[in-house]
Amino acid sequence: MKRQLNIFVSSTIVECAAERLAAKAAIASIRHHPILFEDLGSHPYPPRSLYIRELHSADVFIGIYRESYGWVAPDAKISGLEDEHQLRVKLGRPPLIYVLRPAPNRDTRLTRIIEEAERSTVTFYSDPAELQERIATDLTSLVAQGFDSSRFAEDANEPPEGTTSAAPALGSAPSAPTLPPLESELLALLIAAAMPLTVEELASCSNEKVGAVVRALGGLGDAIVSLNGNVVALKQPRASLSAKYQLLCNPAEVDFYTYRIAAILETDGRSLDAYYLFEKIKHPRAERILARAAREAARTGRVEIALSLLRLNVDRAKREAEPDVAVSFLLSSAVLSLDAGRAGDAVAALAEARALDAPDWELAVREVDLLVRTESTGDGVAMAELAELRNSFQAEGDKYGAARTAILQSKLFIEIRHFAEATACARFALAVFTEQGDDDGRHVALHNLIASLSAQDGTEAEVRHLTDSIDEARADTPRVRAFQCNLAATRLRDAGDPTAAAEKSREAIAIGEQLGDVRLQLTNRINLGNALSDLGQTDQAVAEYKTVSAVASGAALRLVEGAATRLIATTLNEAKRWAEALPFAQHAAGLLRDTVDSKNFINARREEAESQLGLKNVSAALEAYTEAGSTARRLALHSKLGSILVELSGLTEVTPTAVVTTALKICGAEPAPNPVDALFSLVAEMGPLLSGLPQEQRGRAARMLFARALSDCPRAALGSVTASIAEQLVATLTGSASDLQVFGNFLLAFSANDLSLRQWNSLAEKTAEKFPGLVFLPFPDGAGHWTVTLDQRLIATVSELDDTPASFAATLCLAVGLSGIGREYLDALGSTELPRREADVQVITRAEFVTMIGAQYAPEPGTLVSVTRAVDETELRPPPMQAIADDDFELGPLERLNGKTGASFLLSRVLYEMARHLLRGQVSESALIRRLGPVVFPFYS
Amino acid sequence: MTGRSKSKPAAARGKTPAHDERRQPGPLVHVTSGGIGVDYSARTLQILLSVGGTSELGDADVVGLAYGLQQHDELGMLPTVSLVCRNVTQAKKAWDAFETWQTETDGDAVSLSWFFYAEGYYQLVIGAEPERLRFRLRGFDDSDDDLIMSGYFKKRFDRISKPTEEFRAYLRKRYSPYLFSACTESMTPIGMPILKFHGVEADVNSLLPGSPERIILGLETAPERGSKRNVNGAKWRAKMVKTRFPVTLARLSRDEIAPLLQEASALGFQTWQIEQAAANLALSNELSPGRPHYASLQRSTAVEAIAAGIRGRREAADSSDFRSLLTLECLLKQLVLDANALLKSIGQQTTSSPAQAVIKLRKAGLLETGQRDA
Repeated sequence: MKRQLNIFVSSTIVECAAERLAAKAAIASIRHHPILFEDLGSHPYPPRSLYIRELHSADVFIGIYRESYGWVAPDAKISGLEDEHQLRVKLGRPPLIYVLRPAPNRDTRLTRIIEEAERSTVTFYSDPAELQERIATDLTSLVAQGFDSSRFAEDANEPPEGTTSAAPALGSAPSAPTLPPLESELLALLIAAAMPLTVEELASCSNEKVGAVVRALGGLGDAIVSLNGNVVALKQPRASLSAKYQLLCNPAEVDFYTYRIAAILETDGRSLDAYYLFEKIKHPRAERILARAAREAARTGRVEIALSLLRLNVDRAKREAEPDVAVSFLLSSAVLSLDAGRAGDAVAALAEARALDAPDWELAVREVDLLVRTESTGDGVAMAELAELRNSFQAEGDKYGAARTAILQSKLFIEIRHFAEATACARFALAVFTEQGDDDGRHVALHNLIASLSAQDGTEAEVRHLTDSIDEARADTPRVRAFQCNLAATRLRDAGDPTAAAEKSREAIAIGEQLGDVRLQLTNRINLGNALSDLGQTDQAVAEYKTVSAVASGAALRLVEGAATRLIATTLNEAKRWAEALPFAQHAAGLLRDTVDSKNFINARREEAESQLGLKNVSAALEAYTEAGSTARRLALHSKLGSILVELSGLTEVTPTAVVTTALKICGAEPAPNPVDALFSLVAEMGPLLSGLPQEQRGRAARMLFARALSDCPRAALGSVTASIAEQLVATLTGSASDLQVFGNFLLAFSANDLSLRQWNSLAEKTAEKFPGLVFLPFPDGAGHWTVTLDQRLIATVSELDDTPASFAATLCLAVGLSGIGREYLDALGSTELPRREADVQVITRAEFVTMIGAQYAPEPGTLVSVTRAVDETELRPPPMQAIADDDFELGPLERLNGKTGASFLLSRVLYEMARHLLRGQVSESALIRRLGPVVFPFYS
Repeated sequence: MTGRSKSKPAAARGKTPAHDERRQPGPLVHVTSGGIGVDYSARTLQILLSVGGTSELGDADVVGLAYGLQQHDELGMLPTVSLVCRNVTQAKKAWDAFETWQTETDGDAVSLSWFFYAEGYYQLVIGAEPERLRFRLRGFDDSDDDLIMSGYFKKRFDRISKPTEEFRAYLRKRYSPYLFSACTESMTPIGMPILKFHGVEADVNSLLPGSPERIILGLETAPERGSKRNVNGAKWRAKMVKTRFPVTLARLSRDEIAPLLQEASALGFQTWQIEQAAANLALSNELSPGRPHYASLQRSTAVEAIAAGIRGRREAADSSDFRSLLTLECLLKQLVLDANALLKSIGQQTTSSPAQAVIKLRKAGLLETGQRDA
C-alpha cells in the first residue's frame, strides 16, 4: 500500500486562485495529496482551527505569495497567511516557497514573510503554468533526495514565536527504549539496519512477512523487480557484495524509504512499528506518534516497550513543563505496571505523579491510587472509594472519567470473581467508549466484558457475538491470542477436556513470558493448575499454584497470592491430604481476611473447615464454618451462604445440635438452651435468610437444615413443635414464590406422620391464607382439595383421594410446587398457544387406587409415581390425571432417586403430563423433559 | 366434582354435636317464577356445645393446685400442675373426658389459663380448646358456621406462691411442655397425666375489653349469642365463593369475559355481586343442566338442593363449562335475582330492574360489601 504525502498549500485564496489550481494539479500529478482550504468543504470548525489541524497533518508546506498579505480576522493581529507561515516554522514542516516576480505592489508585511522564508527554499515564478512545473519538479526532487523533514526543521533555525524551546530531537532523549523486533522482522532488517539481504536470508522469512514488505513497497515502482516465491529483490545489485541480490545500498535511499514505509505503517494504525522506523532515521514524526506508540504497545501487551515509551513521554512532558501530560503518562505507567504484576513500579509511578503539580489530575491520581491499593493489599475500603469516585465522575457529567473508573472496577471484580458486577461495569464502560469513539477504551471494555460473561452461565451466545466483534486489526496480537487461550481453557475444562485446557493454558503462559507480562503468566498458571487438578495430577497442580503464590508474593499481589494459596488447600483437600492442606488454607485465609476478595476468604475458611474435619477437629471446623458463613451473610454473598448451609447441614460427623448451633451463629442469633428452642430460633432467622439464596440452593438448604434440627426434637414433642414451627414459618414468610419454596421444603424436612390429619388441615388453611395463588378446601374426611392459580389464571386443581397424613402432605407439596414454579412452568411450555388452560390432578396411593379402581389398572409395584393421562387427549373434558404414588413413596430424599426428593419426582411427573395435556402433544417428549427438568428440580432439590 | 367416596376420618368419625340448633337453612334463597336468587352471606349456624369434663370437674371439689416435677418417659423431668381433688369419682369422670379429648386430638385439647389479679390472687380456668373442640364435634367440614359453647371450670387461688410464679415464667418460654394431672389430697394420682405444650398466663388488667377471657372471668357479660366464630356475612360469602367456586372465578378473569363484566360494572354492580352471580350460574348449570337461574328446580326443594349443592361443591379444573350461560342477559338477571334475595332478607321490596336493584341495595347500605347488620 502506498502512502501519499500531505502537501499543504498556503496562499491568499482569491488573489492566487490560478496558482492554487496549478499547485493542486502539480501535486496530484505525482500522486500526492494536496491540502487546500477551499477543498475541505463545510466544517464545524472555525478556519484557524481548520488550517491548524491540517498543517499538523501535513508532510510538506508549499507557500505561494503574490502581493497581498491576506485578511486579518477581527480578533487577530496577523493574517491567516502569516499565521500559517509561523505555524509551519513552529511545526518544522519542510517548506517549498514560490514567489511571484515581479510584484510591484507587494505588501511589506508579506515581504517580511518572504524574507524569512528565503532562509530555506524560495523559487520565483511568473505564471501559474511555470509554477505548476516547478512544484512538480521540486517535490519529485525533494522525495528523490530522501525526504527528511527534520533537516528542514533544523534549517528553520529559530524558535517559533511564543515557545520557549524547540522540541529536541528524539535521539537525544535520555533513555532510549529497548525496542523488540518489529512485527515484521523483515521490515526491521530491510530498513533499519540498511544491510543487504542474501537470498537465503530472504528465503528464511515467511511468506506472510515477505508479503508485508511487498505491500509496503508496492508504491515504489521498479525498485522491486521480482516476487518469486519467498524472494524479494531490488535492482542495482551492489558489486562489492557477494550475494546475488542485494538491497538498498544508498543510505539516503534507506532514509527515504524508511520514512515512506513508516508513514504507511502509521496510516495503517501500526503506530509502534512506525515509531520505531521514524526513530531510526531521527525523524521528528517519531515524537509526534510517541504517545500513540506507547498506547499500542500497552494494548498489545508489549509491556517493556510500552513502559519505556511511556517513560519517554513523561520525560518529554516534564522537559516541556507540561505536568498534566506527564501525570497522564505516569498514571498509564502505573496501571500498566500493575496489570503486568509490577506493583512496585506502579507505586513508584504513582508517587512521581503525585509529586507533580497537576491539580486537574487529582481525581485520576486518586483513582489509580485506589486501584493500586486494592490490588496490592486487597483493601476493601479502597474498592468502595473507587465506586464512589465513579459516582462523582458521573455526577459531574464526566462520562469518560466514569467509564475509565468502571474499567478499573471491572478488572477488580473479575479478579475477585464478582462477575455480575464486573459485567455491569464493563457494559457501562463499553457503551461510553463506543459513544465517544475511543477505540482503545472500547477494546479494553470489550475484553473485560467477555471475560466476566464467560464465567457466567447462559452467556455463550453473547460471548460469541462479542468475541466476533473484536476489531480484526486488534485481533491478531499475542495478547489477544493469550486471552483467547484463557477463554478456551475455561471452556475446555467445562466440556470435560482438561488435557486440551492445559495445552491452551501453556500456550498462554508462553505468550505471557514472551511479552514479559507477569500477570498474564500467573492467571494462566492458575488455569493450568486447575486443568492438572482435573486430570488428577495433584502434585503438578499444586506446583503450579505454588509458583503463582511465590511470584505473586514477590510482586506484592496479595489477592493473587491468596487465591493461589487457597487453591493449593483445595487441591490437597480433594486428595484427602488434610494435614498438608490445613496450613495453606490458614495462610490463604490470613492473606485474604479483610480484603475485597471475600469470596476467596470464605473459600479459604471452608477449606480450613474441611481440613479440620478430615483431621477430626470438629470444633475448629465449625468455627471456620461459622466465620465463613457469617462473612457470606454479612456481605450478602447468597450463593456462598447457601453452599455453606447445605454443606454444614450435610455433615454427618457433626451432631444435629452442633449443626443448628453453628447455623444460628451464622445468623447472629443467640445460642438456644435446648434443641427445640434452637429449632424455634432457626425458624425465626431462616425465613428471611433463605429467601435471599439462589433458587437452586434455597429449598435444599431449608430442607436439610430443618431436617437436622427436627432430628434433635423429642418424638413426643414432634407433632406440637412441628405444627408450631410451621405456623411460625407461615407467619414469618412473605407470600412470594421464593418463600413458598422455603415453606414447601420445610414440609419435606419431617415425616408426614409427625402431624395428624387435623394438624395438616390447620396448616393447609394457614398456607392458603398466606399464599394468594392457593385455594384450599377440605373434604369432610380430612383430605384436601387445592386450586392453584397464577395471576388469577387457573393452573390446576389438585385433589387428594386418600385421607392419610402422608397423602395429604404429598398433595399439599404438589400444590405448593405448582404454585411456586407456576410462572417458570408456563414459560417452559414456550410460546405455544395452549389449546387448554387447566389441568385436574388427583393424588392417590397405589393401595387406595387398587381399592377404588382395581389392581388390574394399577401401575406395577415399585413404580414410584405413575401419572395416568387423559384417555382421549383431544377431548375438551378429559378425565382427571391421577398421580399414583407407590406405597413406599416419601416426599423427602430417596436413595432410588440418587438423593433427589420424592416431591421433585412427583412434581415433575405431574408437570410433564400436565404439559402434554395442555399442549395436546404438540411438543415432543424429549423437548418437554428438557424444558421442565430445570424448572422442577431446583424447587424440591 | 371429584366423584370420590370416602368415609370420615377417624378423628371425627362418629362424633355428633352435643347440641345442634339449626337456626337458618341459609344461604338466602329467593324463589320467584322467573328464577331463583341466592345470596351466600347467610349460613347455617350450628351451636357446638361441650359441657363434659369441666362440669364434672366442678363437682370434684378441687381444693388446691400442686406444682412439682415429674418424669416423662421421653421428655425427661417436666413441670407438673396437679389439681388436688376431694371427690375422686367426679375427678375421675372429668379425667376420663379429658383423656378422650386427648386421644381424639392432643393434650392441648384441654385448655389451661392462669389469670393473675393485681390484688395478689389468681384464677385457674380449665376448658375445651375451641378449635380442637370444633374438630372433635364437626370433623373437617367447614361448610357451616359454628357457634361454639363450652363450659369452663374456674378456681380462685388466694395466694400467688413462688412455685406459681416460677411456673408462670416457664409458660412464657417458646417451648414449655408440662404435665397436667389430678390427685387426691394424699397425692394419689387420678387418671393419667396429660402432656401439654401450651398454657395461657396473663394479668387480668392486660385483657382487652370485650375479649373472651374477660367474659369467661365474669368481668363482662357475654353478647346475646354467646361466644362464636363471629364471621360476618360478607366474609362468609367471600369464603364460600372463593373455596366453592375457584375455577369459576378463574374463568371470569379470561379476556373474552371482560367486556361482559365491564358492562355489569358500568351499571353499578360490585365485584362481589358479579362473582356471586357467576357462581350461581355455574351451580345452576349443574342443578338445572344447561339452564340459568335454577330454572328447573322445584319450588319446594329448591332451597335444600341449592344449599346441598353449595355445601358439597368441589370445583375441578377442566370440569363442566358454564360459559354458555354467561351472557349479559343471564348475568344481569341473576344479579337482580341475587339482589332481591338480599333485599327480601331485610324486608325490602324486590325489583326486576338492574338499575333499581343497585339503587335499592345502595339505599340499604348493602351495595359496597353486601354486609347485612348482624
